[in-house]
Amino acid sequence: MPRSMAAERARATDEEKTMSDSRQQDNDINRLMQSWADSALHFWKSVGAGQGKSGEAGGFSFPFAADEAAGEEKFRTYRSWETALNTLTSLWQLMAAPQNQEATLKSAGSFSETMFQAAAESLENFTEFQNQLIRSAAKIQEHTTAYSFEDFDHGTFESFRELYRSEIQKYLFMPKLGLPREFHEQLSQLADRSTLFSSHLVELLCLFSLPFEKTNRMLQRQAKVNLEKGEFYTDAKQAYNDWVKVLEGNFMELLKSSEYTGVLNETINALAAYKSVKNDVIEVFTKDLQIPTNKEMDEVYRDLYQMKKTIRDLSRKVISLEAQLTAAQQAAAEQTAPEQLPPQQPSPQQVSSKQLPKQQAAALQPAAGAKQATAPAKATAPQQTVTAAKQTSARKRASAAKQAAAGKPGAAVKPRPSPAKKKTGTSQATGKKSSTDREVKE
Amino acid sequence: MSEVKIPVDLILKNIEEDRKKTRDRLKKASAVLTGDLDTAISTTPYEVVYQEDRVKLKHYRPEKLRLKTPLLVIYALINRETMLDLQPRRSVVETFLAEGVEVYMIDWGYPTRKDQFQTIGDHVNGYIGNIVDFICATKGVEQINIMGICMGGVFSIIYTALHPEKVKNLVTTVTPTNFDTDKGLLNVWMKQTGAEVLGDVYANMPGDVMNLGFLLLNPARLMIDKYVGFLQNIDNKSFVENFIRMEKWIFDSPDVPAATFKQFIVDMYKKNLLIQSQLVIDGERVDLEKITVPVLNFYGRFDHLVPPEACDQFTQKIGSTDKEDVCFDTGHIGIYVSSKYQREFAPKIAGWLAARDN
Repeated sequence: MPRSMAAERARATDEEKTMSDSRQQDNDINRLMQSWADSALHFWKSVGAGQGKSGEAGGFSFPFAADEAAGEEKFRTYRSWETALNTLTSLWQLMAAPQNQEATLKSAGSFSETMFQAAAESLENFTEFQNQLIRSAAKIQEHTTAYSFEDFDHGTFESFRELYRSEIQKYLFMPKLGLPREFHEQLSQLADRSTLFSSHLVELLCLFSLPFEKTNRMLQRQAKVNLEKGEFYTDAKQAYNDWVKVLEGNFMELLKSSEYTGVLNETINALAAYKSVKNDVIEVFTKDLQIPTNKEMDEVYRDLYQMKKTIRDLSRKVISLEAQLTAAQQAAAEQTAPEQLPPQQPSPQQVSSKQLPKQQAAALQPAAGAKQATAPAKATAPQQTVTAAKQTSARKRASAAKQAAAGKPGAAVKPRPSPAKKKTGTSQATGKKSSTDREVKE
Repeated sequence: MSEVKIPVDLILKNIEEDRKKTRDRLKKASAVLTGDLDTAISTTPYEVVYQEDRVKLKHYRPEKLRLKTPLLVIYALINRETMLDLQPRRSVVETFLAEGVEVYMIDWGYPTRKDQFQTIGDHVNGYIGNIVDFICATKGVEQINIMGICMGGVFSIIYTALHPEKVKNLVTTVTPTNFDTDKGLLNVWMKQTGAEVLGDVYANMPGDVMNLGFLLLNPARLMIDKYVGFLQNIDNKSFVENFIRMEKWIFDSPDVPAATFKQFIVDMYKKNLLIQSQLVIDGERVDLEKITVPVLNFYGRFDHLVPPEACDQFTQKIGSTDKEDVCFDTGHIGIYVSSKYQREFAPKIAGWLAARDN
């Protein structure tokens, strides 16, 4: 028991001594701070005293700028300096005041501590990255087994991305301020996605180099064995054939490995992310140049697509209804006035242009760029002999089809000779960049 | 143990010979490449008889018509239909015409940004529907024969299931219907990646991006060996002409409308809805049992894009009783362009259609 009390007392003494040391240290720092703040203050005061007007000791001023007759405009730069320097001097005074020294000291301490911490963390991460890099490089050397990619190490690339995410990405994602905030954010995102995509692409390309490495190594081993037996390629073609065969095998193994599909998938996703942000940034510029953006055009295209689809459906219905109407009218005419000839029915083309609403009539016009329909008369003639009773659903469709051939939604075009018939040798119909094709499309 | 000896003298001799051959080849190559090369594709005469938006309908007339039912060929949205008529004497179209088949072929054109909202339904019920109606009306028939190629085959199947009364006979070639297989790299990639997002960011799926994907299916052959082969035959005019024709075709890739691309990836590759008769197009279920017309289904044993496992279940799921599977020992394109299958593929179709042309 007495032993423990003695130990307790000794511990208390140690603590007091530590606290006392700490206080002593604080006092030393305070004195240092006081002395530094005083020096800074004296310096700025002396500068001010040298330049300043008499009677305003401690104030910083340019005497010639005080001339009121000079007006507001003249010397306004000097006056701004005066204000700024005087504010700085006041700040120093405030910081040097005994009651504020502790707070100033703490702020300065925490700032430097933060900086040190950040630097230490970065250094630590960087060292860790280097270690991983060395380990990965060593591992890559270890496994170049023939026809095997299971143990491919993508740790090197992941380490780089890890370092990037922990050390660089955070700066890119710092909050952006002010008017161009959104644009700056997009630029940061573009830089970020571009870096990530590049790293994935390099990884993918690195994977593609492995089959070459494996193939060369395999053939070198084989060559060594053959040399020991006194055999060697006497024909370069045979050597190449063997090489390409082994290379093909190595590629096949690589391309179906889960490692490859994993890296491929990550690259595709990174590409998609990068392209998406790139499109956003491009839109800023196209907008600025008053060019319709892709998004705006896509909306127009979507509307166009929907409208065409609607028109197509409606025109089919109209044609079908017309056929039914024609048949019904004919049947009615035959019943009511068998002695009279039935009145001639207008063709669907005539009906569409004369009686249908404007939109539906437009739908029945030939497709843009196509010439007027020249389908055989059989196809263009309306189905006048079909009675309503006979119109099964299949028949209805067939009837509508025959009329569609004359009308739309597409259009029969006047047969024209194939470009192959022309003398020029290169077929325009197959030429990708053929102006004729373009014109027709447009 | 006796010391082994390498035939260094033979190796050096071969190297010298190769060097001389290469020098001579390059001399000739200069004359070939700067000379008059015939690299035109799609040279068989045709007429454009119908057009709707970007889509055109090509019409090929045989000199002597033997089949009364015309054949509509529906190509994929990827690459172009010119593959069926790459060059004289190596042309599926030419063979059909020689067999007396009247051919209509859809040229899907080049989709632009305004086409990005077009779905599979817009292609099947819209363009194909209108084209079939047009042909029926023009030719005065109730039904036509349809032949679909790859993705175009999928469209053909959907159309036939939704409008069986319009189709007399259906021919599907290298057409994927079962996407739940890991045999093809495309199947693996499409299932394990979110490639459909590219449709959104590019508005349409760029043809060049897809082409890059196809090249990556076999980089050693398609990006290296192919061009090594070209260099080895660079002094051969005929080889160079054929090579350039194929290059023209293979890199002529229209974009695919975003909505169609996404729907194809999600509903086909990821959910495998077609073969289960669960696919819904424009609000209507695509029930394969409703396909009761005669069906002829071709696929390639060494097809790396659409493996046999993706094709061989189709005929088991349909309602037809008259159906046949034909598997050729070739790849995705070989069926249409290889010399060997030129003699087997199109004549087989023509004969099969003729037997059902009553």
